[in-house]
Amino acid sequence: VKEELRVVNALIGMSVGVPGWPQLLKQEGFRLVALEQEISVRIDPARRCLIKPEAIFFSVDRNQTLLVEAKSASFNPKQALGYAKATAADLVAMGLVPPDVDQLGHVVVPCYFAPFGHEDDLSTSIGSFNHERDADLPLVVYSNHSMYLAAGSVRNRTLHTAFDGHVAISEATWPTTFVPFDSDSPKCDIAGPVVQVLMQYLLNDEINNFTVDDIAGGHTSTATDGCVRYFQRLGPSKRAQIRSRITEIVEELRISYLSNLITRTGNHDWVLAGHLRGRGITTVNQAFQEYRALVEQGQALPPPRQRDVLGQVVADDD
Amino acid sequence: MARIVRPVSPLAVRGRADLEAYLGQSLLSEYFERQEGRTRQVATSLKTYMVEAHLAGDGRGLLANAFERVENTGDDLLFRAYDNSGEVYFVDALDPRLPHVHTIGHTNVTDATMAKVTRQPGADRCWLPSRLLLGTQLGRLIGFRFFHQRTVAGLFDSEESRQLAKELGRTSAPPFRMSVSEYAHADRELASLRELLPLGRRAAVDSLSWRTAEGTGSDGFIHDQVWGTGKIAAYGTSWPAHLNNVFLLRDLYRDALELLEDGYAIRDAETGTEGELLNIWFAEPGVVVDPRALMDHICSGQEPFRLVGTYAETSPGRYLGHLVDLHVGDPVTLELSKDALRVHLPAGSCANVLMRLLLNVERHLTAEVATSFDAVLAARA
Repeated sequence: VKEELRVVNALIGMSVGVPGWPQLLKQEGFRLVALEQEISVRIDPARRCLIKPEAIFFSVDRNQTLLVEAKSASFNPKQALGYAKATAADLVAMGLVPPDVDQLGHVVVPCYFAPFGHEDDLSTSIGSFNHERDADLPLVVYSNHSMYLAAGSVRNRTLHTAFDGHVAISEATWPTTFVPFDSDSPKCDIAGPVVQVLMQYLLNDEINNFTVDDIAGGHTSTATDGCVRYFQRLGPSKRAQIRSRITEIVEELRISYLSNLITRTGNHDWVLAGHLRGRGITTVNQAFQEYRALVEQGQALPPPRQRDVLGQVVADDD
Repeated sequence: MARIVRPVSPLAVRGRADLEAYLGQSLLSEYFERQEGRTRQVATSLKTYMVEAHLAGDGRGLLANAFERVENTGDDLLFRAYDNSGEVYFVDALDPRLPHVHTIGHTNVTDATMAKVTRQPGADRCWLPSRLLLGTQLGRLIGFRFFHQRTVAGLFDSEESRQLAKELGRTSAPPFRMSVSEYAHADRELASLRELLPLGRRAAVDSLSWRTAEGTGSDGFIHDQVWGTGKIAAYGTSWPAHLNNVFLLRDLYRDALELLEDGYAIRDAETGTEGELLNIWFAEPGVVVDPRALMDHICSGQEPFRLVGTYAETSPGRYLGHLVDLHVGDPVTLELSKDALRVHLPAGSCANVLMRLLLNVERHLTAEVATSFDAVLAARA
């Protein structure tokens, strides 16, 4: 799993309830409001820059916003300046916090996270940056067992105190489900959530067609979410990348297994010819499991139409 | 073929007020069965099945698929249904989420029919896990029953069990069952047997039997046997007391589902993401020897789990499954290791999957479990 996703899931886990996992962010009232949302920050009177935190948490209780940047190697001083200088006005302008928030009293809490083993260079770079710019940008280092502050200070007192010691965590309880993939995750990581949504459509009589945006962001006919949290709030380029990855998977499933059940009607649009019942569910489920296993092992998919599941489903029903 | 002669016809039931006269025949053993020219008095228990349903319209569509014939009574939300054996059922859909079905037919027939009803898309049993059952108080406890059987793949089974299965020519050992009935000290024995016997700790509480006399008049009583699978079998003299217990269990169950859906499901609210993951820890060490095989079983679509989907190993011995609940087609995400099952219930998904998972973990893996949602299961009866 990508390090950025590990950090994001770990912190979302701290903001909701995960048994056996610290609830530091929840205690401070932080809730996830956006993922990978670009923010325009005024870094001096004549210059602005864009920063793109992996996750953004807002606390009504504390009137604070936590900006999470997951780092594994390189340090960009301009980006760091953006994090250090971000204000409530910048967040309001991007629609990340409510416009009626007390902007003067609002505290933006930037925080860099890096995996254990990569912290030495980053810690030195951030330390130098803080010294030169009179900044306080923090770096929190995480391993499989703990999280601790390696540089700077966290602008939320509770979080600072906690990370300044060691926050004990456990690999066995590390959350993974909140953001299971992003646009450059391996195909096998994306396949599971996409197949999950596709199966819902194949079981739901009220859904006769769907688009890639339905799979990602939630179908208008269902009350349930899509497989990409905050899809509509992602930037256009990120959405395009995700659309492309999901489309690739849906098309592979359609061509290799379901060509008589799903018809492609546009670049990112499909129509269902029917819905699954009885043994058809088991047959398609086995096909999906086979697909995921083949993708995981990097093996070739069955040739088109030689393994058409609907043919079997119809035969079963007959 | 036995012909049942009941003084009160099911056709006489035109509303809820008429149910007592018809169903009370069973409570009071007032009807007869004729078989091969002989007539005998019959004492078949009154059965009430608790169902969790997502009914479209008045729910007749759901019933029509499972029953031979469905008729209206005089009440729009009370249906008379017949199975293919001719047994009669009264389906009370006043609560559309948790309808209940009354019958005085023979258990071997009605259990099979109700299994058919609750296996349909949109329907499910009400699953009453041990912790929820043990938290109820419906009068004086006079009996209990334990159940356990490891028929699920990937679990530890003792050498003795395997040997027994081999001797019996079966693929798995017969289920462990233990019943105590009509016993004045049942509550004390239940606690001590669960504490002292290894099998008592491992086994699920299959049913609890209560005797309720309070509020039924000087000579009235009801004996309700409440099963973990949502059946309440009754005999006695007080229909209102039985109904009172049914309503109490239904209220507890509805509260539990709503707490799980409103308090735990992961949702993206206006103020950000909230909710909680739900854990079931296996307190019996070593019960899961092969989580991959267990995960295979769970997401195969088979009863009792009714889940389909795919899974992957995320770290050694830890599996993440993106699944769909065949009950209503809702998504649910599971993580499984040798120590625990963790459930991510998305907003909008039906929480009955949690109850189904927990009860069947108790029945088929181990009842020595701890959960992160004990507060939900701790009934307030």
